[in-house]
Amino acid sequence: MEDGKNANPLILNPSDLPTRRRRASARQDHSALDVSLAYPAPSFSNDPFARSSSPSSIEESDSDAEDEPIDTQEIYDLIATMSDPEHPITLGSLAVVSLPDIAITPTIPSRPASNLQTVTVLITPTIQHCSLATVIGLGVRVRLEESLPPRFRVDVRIKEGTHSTADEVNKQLADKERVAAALWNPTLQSFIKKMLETCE
Amino acid sequence: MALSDARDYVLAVESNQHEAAEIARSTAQKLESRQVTLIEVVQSLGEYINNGDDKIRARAVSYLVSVISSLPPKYLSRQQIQVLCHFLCDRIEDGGAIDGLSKLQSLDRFTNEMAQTVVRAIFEHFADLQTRNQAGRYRVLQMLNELLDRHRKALRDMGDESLVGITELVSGEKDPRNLMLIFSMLRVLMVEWDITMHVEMMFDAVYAYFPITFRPPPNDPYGITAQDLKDRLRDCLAATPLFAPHTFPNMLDRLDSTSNTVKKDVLQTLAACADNYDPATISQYSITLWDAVKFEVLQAQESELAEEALRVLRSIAECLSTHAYSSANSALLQYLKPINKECLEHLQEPAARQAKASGNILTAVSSASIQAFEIIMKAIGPALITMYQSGQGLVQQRAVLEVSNQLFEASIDVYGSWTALSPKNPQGRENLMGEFKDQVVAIYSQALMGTVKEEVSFRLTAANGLLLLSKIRGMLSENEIGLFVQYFDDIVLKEESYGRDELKKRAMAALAGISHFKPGLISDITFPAFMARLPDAEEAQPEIYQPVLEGLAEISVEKDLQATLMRRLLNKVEFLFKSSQGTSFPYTCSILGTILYVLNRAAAASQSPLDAYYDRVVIGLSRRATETRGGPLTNETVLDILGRIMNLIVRHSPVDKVQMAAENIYLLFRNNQLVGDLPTLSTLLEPPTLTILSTWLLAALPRSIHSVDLDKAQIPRTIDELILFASKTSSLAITQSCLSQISLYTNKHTKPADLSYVDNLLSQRLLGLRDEPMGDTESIDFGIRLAFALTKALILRLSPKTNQYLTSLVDLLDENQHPREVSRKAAMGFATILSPDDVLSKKNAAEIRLLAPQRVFQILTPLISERFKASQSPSEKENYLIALSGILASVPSDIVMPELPTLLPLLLQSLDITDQTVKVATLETLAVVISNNPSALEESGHIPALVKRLIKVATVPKYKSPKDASGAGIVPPTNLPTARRLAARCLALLPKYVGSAGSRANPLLGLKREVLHGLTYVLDDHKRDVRKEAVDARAAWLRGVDDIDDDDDV
Repeated sequence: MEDGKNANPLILNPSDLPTRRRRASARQDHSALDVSLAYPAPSFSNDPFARSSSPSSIEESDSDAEDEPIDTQEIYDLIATMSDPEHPITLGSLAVVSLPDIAITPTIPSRPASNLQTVTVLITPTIQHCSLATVIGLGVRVRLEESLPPRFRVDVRIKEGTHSTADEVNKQLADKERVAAALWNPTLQSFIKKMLETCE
Repeated sequence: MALSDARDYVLAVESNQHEAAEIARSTAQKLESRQVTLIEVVQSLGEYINNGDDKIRARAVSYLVSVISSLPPKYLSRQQIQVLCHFLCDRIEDGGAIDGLSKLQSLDRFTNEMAQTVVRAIFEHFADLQTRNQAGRYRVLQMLNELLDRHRKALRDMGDESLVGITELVSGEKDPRNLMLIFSMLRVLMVEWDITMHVEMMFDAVYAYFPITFRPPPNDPYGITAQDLKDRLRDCLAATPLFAPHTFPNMLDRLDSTSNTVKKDVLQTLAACADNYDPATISQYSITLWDAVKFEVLQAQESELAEEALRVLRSIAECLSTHAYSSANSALLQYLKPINKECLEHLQEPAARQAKASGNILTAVSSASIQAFEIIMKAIGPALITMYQSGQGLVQQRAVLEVSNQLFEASIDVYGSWTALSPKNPQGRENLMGEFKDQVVAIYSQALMGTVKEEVSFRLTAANGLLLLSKIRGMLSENEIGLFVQYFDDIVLKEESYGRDELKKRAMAALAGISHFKPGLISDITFPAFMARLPDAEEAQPEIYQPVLEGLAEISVEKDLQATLMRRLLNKVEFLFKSSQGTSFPYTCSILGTILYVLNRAAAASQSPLDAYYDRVVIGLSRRATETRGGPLTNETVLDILGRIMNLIVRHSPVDKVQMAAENIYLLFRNNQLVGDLPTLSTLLEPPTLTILSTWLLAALPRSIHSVDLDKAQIPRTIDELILFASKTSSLAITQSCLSQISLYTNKHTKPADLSYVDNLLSQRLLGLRDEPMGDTESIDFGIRLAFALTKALILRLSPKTNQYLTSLVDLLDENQHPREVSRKAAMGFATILSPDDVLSKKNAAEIRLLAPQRVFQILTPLISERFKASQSPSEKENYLIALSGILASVPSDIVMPELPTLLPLLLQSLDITDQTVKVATLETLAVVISNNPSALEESGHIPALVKRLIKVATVPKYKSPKDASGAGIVPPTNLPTARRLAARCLALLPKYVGSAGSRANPLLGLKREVLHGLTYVLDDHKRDVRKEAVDARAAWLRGVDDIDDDDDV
């Protein structure tokens, strides 16, 4: 362990990770089994002659009426499938990122009309002196910056009390210029590329 | 004269192979008819055979060889063979001599001695084999291989001479084709020769090639892959235990390689060794191997390698299990001891990664044999129970259960399940787990039923475990399994829904699983419990009956249970049919849907006839429907499902019952006296909804059957009546049913000679559509539907005038000849032509030619493209695009691809029109084009235009005035989320397929900036699904479209 690697981390089961619950408004799906017993739609219901220019069947389940704002679960889904640089295991399974440690807040609270928002992600390294905490932080930062619209500010930090040199790492992660400089480093680039390969 | 033959041959062989062969054949015939002797033939070569020119000599030898090859196999005597053999051996380096020897050795009179002579000649003359060209080497090797095949004993008798000779002969070979032969020859030597004096030489001869790094050139005509070579090399290394002192240390060294491919080769070789070496040898290395290989599992970087490593560990255990088991200090025990010890240590932290890996190791090793399982179970079983009981929390406990579940699976593997004995347990040995079973059952029961419902994954693990336990052969009693069945029943029926209902699904699947090996328990416990839950009235909530019906269908696989289920469900349906209120009948439909599902499954599984239900369902319910004037039996949806059930039963009934159905298409089994002598269609189809039943009955009939209604004189009358009947109804379902019947008659029951009636009808209808509508839009609608129904029926059977029919349909789109509404409606109709149809289907014996979709597509695409270009009116252009997208939606992509050059411009235009259905169909086609045929896309040069349009479709246009958000204002046309999502998906696919291969510059490079910028707006879409695709697309363009790609030219 002296090299700052954790060879035997705790792993969460995929079915225990937070996921988006089935929407209540989703079509009536009471199926308890994977087999579909639903009786076939009547043969006469398929009528291409009767459709309007935007088909009603698509319209009902798929309209813009319901707004789906970006929420913490969505942020989680973006980063939880990234893999740890030293294990072929996702950050979600390793609990490096977790849903309660993600927050979305208005960037300028005094101006409610502004749509600028800040995403804060707290990272929990698998061990106190994890040598790769900075790399993981950078990876998460890169993933979020390329995946979120420009009105979002990204703030990635080490969770308090989980890392021996948290302050130093945080300083590096918060420093735009140091982040940009680090991303020019080819070794880091390949590390981050590898982390992002498993993104779903 | 023989002399002249030889001369002719030598002169001809270069210029005319065929003639040369003919000359050789005629010489052979002369030999056979004794006009010349073999000596004369050989002597005739004299002039050439000693010629200084290699080529001339080669031609002379090849003449002799051709002659020999043309002789019948028994012609040559032993002496003659002997002479020829020596003659050819002396000239073995001359072209063709090898072929001659190869021919000779295949003769029955070829002796062992001669074989040895040939081998010695090879050794003598080909010491410099590697300096010759590949083809030459290949011929020699092939010859050697043939000798090894047919005259193995002769070669083996040569002992070291052949062993060393062959090994030295082949050393240094590099060509994969030759190596394939060499590896298989060397393996024969290793296995069948005494190599004890030459172990190292033999080992080095093959190990020199490890690891195989061969990569076949693109379009390799020989089709030899690296894997082929690896397989043969591995067989060599694993050929004999004598290699063990060399293989194992070398392999373990190579296991430290940084290349995963090499590691994989090493692990596969080790597994092959463990499979082939004897237990005494393996036992010397087992612990060394464990110490090295375990890291590949415990610290796995690559799950594939971990799998291979587990296979090695299991193979070792399997190998050692063949050793005598009785001794307490057996080799197997020696091997398993350190494994048990180390795994137990890791299991102390059950939820950690290495504990999981340890579980995998224990499972792999214990599934090797009963002996291995018992050793491991004795060491690990009690420890797991203690660990669970002292568990520090659910996460840890769940991990313990996971490991136990894996061991249960191993137990099924070695002891067998209820349905299958294990080959590893021929004596039916009693399961060691019997000792723990009470404790285990208690733990698992408590875990499943005594845990709060929020702990889904914990309970899922417990449910898995209980199912596995109940599967193990001879382990649990009926009562105990019955208890589990009760648990699963309660979970499915009584528990509240939670989350994604994974546990309910798992419990249901477990019940279905148990029904395979303990059907009695299911029919006694589950079946009544489920039946009791079915409501009696239509007003029930789907949440209540739907899972119950699905459950019932799933557990009633066994025959008796299925019959009972059908009886009970039919009772229920008949009871529900009594009600005469209500307008929709979802519950009735669900029950009918279940009946349909179960009957479908029964028909597919056993091919057994379904006529047991004929009287009750087909006759009884048809008759009942004729007598009903309200309620479910006049509901179109109910009748449609009922019709499908009848259709299925008739199709799986004996001929006499099918005939009966053919006579009752419209009579519907009414009692004869109630019907007049010559009833008209409209009196028989009363209530009109009966049409739906008639349609399904008609659809079920085979083409060959005869009845009054199917008479060729009657069909035109029926079609006329159906048209009249349909034009009077206001119900779309009835209209469609009538049209389906017309399609069925046209497609299945009209001979080609009688089609003129249909042709007339069609052209008359098409002509009628040219007139301006006279305030009667319904007749236009019906006219177009009829035209398409008839055309579809005709085209699917590829009737001779297919081309003409399709052209007249495209003519409908011409706004100069037809009213606008007609053209627009007809454009939509193109989607019907090839779309799958439940009524007019192969199952229902419709005549659907295999090439129909291709023909339709090949006729329509150029036609539509040409008219599109000629057209001036935007709305007409749009019609063509709508028609095209309708066809595209149901044509397999391999038919679409060849037409791409014509299609692409149209597809791009389709992205500009507002019709969303067209847009969605187009985007779906484009997604297929991008992934299946990116090169065509690149060659077309349309990529920039495509990318720009995709960005436009994916982006939601911004409001100009945000204050007007109340919505009443003018909203710019927005694409549906599906269209936006698909557009983003297409963008994501592009970098994956385009520009990755080929020497040209990546066409995406210049677009990268624009795409990345465009996508930032899509990242802020209202819809999550759209954003998701945009995220993927951006990631793909960021990393998939590289500036430094040019440096990659290796």
